[in-house]
Amino acid sequence: MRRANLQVKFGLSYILIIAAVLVFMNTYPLIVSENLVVRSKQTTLQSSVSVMVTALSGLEELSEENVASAMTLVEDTGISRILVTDAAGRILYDTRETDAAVGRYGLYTEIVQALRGYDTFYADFTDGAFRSRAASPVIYRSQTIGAVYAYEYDVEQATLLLTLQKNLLRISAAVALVVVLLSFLLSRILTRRFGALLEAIRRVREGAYSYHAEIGGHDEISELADEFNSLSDRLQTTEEARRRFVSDASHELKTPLAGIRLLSDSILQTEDIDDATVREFVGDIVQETDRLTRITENLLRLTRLDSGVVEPAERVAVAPVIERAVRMLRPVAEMRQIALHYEIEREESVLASGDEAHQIIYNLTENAIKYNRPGGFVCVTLTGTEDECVLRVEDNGIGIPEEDRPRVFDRFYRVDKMRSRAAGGTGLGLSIVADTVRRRGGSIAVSAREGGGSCFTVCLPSARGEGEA
Amino acid sequence: MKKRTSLLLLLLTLVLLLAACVRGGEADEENGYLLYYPAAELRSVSGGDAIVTRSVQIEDAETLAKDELAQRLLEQLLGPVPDAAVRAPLPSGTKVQSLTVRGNWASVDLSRQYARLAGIDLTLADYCMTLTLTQLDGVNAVSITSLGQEIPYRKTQMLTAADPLLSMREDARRPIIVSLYFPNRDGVLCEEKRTLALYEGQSRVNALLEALSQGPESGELLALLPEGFAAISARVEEETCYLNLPADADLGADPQQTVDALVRSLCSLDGVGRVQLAVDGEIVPLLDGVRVGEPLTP
Repeated sequence: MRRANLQVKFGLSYILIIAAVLVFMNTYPLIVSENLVVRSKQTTLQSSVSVMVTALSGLEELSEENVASAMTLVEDTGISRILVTDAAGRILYDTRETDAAVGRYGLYTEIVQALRGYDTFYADFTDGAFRSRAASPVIYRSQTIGAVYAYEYDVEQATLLLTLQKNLLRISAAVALVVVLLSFLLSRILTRRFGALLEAIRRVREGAYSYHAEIGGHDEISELADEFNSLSDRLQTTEEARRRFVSDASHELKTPLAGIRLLSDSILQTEDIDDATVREFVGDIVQETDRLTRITENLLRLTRLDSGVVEPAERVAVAPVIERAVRMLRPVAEMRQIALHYEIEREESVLASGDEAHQIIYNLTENAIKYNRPGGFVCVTLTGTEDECVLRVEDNGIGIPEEDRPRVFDRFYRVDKMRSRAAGGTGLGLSIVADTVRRRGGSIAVSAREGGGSCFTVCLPSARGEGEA
Repeated sequence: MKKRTSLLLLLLTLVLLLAACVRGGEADEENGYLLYYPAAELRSVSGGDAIVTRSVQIEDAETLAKDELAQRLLEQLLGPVPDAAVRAPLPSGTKVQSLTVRGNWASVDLSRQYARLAGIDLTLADYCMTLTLTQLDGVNAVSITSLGQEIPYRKTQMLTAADPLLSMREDARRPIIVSLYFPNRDGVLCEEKRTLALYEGQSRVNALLEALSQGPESGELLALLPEGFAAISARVEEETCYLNLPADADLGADPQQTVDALVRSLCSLDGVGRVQLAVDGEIVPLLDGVRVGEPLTP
């Protein structure tokens, strides 16, 4: 129904515009032509009347005889009827062949006006003929002694005008027909493309994100279709990522839960279980609970990042954050016999929240410690350029294979699931770091370190000289 | 429900009112007459007449005698004008001294103000009164005097409704009845009566020739003249129709029959007794083998 309305609106718009033009075409030329003819008739008829008035003007008094005599000297003008009256309006001369009105009183408007001293003219175009009337007074010594009245009934010029009108109407009818057909076709073509777009929107709304609107052309509608298609592609990507995330999240959550369940069942179902075993099992349950907690916290963090809620940025000095993170992780590093140190090559500040800065540095450093070997080292370096703050976290640990490097920042992606689980990893740490860095206008990259291990480089816009934190 | 009832009642009331109006109109038409006034502004009646009408109702008209009714009408005419589009036909203060209707002639005597009128104003006043009074059944003529005296400079003292020339539109097309002659299948000329609409300025002869060239309306008769046949000129003088034909005039397969048909058809016009043919303005002895040197009669 909506499409029909749009089609009707489009069609009607074309038709109305053309109709207006056709109406103008069928009225203005005819009006102008009619006026031209009337003006021409006025000139001709009035000049003919003037000639007759001149022929009569020498007479002191008008009578039937002297008027008839004077009028014979006037050339045949082709006027349909000529009347000459006396001052009282009595007709003294009539050119009509039969039923001449001599002796009657001419009370036509034009005759009476002429007898009152006015030259008059009137013409109309009705019933397929031009009827023109002119009258002038006959004056002798400033006295109106009579009037000359001329009437012309012209069918020829009227026929020309009517033929013109008929031709214009025929042309207009043909144009109107073409316009109606064209408007129908054009509006149909236009609305069909909208219809295809609407259909695509409906399909995508129902979940068919891979459906594309196939609309050709190089106009705004095809542009709209292209934008829509890229939007639905993004929707599809997002939907797939969401599904994958939900699937991964539920899998990650199920694993520690399954572990807790197994350990709990073992405790409950084993008769005469000794305290040491119980303590061991409960310790494992606590570990799995800790992992659940970490996963939940990370998920919440990611959800907050996804929701777009951004804490207000402040100018954060990076060096103190590094010092604090290193201080917090030093016991973990010592326990794993890994040397942890940092270098501040340049004092740098970034625009972020304190938590975000800590999260980035802590997660990267923690990862470098987790995926290392005893006797290895982790070095956190802070440097920068004129516009950027550059943070590097290097380790000589197990490294990341080349094929896995593009995916390490994906949620729940693990190069080695077993090792990651053993190390207490949730698969979300690097995702959180990457999302946070990108949200603050920065970038993160991972590369292999010469001599083994990995190097994570974070670049953030420098806040040197910006407002104080 | 209430709304519907109210609507129905309103509709019923309207219908009743309408019926009453219609009934009232019918009754009024019986007592309706026309008053003739001069138009106040002649420019507003261009192309028409200088005299316009206004309707008036005379109560109890059917009970009044003819002269009483005539008196009443004239008093209405001389009274205040009904609207600004018309003006009083007579000078202000004009009174009817007497009005009598004898047979079919109404005699009106007015006060001295009437005698001041002259020229076209007098004519207009005369015929406003004449047309008003002659609409009464049995009144055919009107005479108007002033204090018993005739108006000496008026050409006629008996005024009738046929005197004024009014309503050009009817004049534009006048019907004339003519007899056209066409041959039947046996080659015998037969008469076909036809009514031609003659417009002002169109000569009867040309209208007749045009009708002849259009051919017969009856399926029994055959066309004689080619379509578009026309004369250069035609005039009627002293019962003779002078018809000037072009040199290349086509008289068809039987020129004698064509000339006979032409002559008989033209002589059916009033005031035409004979036909004189000419070619390019010259009277010739023969035209396509037909003798045309003398005026021809049917």
